[in-house]
Amino acid sequence: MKRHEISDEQLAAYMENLFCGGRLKSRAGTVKADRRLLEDVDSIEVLGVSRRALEMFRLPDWKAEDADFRADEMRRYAMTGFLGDEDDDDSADGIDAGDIAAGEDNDGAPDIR
Amino acid sequence: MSDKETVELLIADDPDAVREFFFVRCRPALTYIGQYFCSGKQSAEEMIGEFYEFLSADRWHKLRIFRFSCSLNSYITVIASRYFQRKRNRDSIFIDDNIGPLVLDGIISTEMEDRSLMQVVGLVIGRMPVLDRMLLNRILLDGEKPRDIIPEVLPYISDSGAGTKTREQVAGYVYTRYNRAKVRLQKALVELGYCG
Repeated sequence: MKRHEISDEQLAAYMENLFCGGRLKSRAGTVKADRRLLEDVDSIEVLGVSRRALEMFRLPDWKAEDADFRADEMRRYAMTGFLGDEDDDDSADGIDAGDIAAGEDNDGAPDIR
Repeated sequence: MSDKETVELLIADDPDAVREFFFVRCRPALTYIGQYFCSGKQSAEEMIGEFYEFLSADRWHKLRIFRFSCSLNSYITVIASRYFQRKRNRDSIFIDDNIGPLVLDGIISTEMEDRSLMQVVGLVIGRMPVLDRMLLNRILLDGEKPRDIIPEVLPYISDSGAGTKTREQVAGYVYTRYNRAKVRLQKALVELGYCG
């Protein structure tokens, strides 16, 4: 297996500083990290696709209460197909607007325990 | 829940945490990464399940060495990208050295040290044919999935007379051409002193 000179965490931290408006500690540090990245085109590719993928975490915003419905909706289908139960009719355990409005805990995801 | 709490639950193999983390929180990101590197070869569930197996290996080694110098989302995203990239590179057809060198006059200069290194990559890409340039900018730098840019690639392929017809053929052509352009970029960077 290929061994990367720059670790997963270093690359992730670099990505956050590069794309999230953060500031690296020094310009010299920036150039050094950048040079190490450029020694490996694969790392540049990882940087590009990771930046895109990171945007996916923002949809929905898990910390925002108004996104609860979307989070629950995704949670409901999270394991669909994985446990071979894609044909199950789980509508009886599903989510409806009334439950959401009433603030009830209604997790429709199958229990894997 | 903080990143640290999430990591502790995952390391403890908490089933609710595992389900929530992999199949809800990370699902869109992992799916994107999987489709980028292994387009059409596996379902989202298969890719997520495979990544779960990888990450949980050796008693969650990758999580146990995490120092929280960045967000857990960023950390996981990079690990997943590297994992699926290695998988793609392993499975891809070997691209031989029969790729012509780029003319790098003007890029090699005493001012190299003063240039942003991403600028150097931009300069090298700028020397490439227009289709290679577009593929590297969109796929390598912007992180677009190869299949997502097929509509934009079609005019270039028609001009070059590649003769591809179906979507699968076009996707295959884009994939191969992109990989060749990436190898060419890597070679140019080596020539400029950025040895991998």
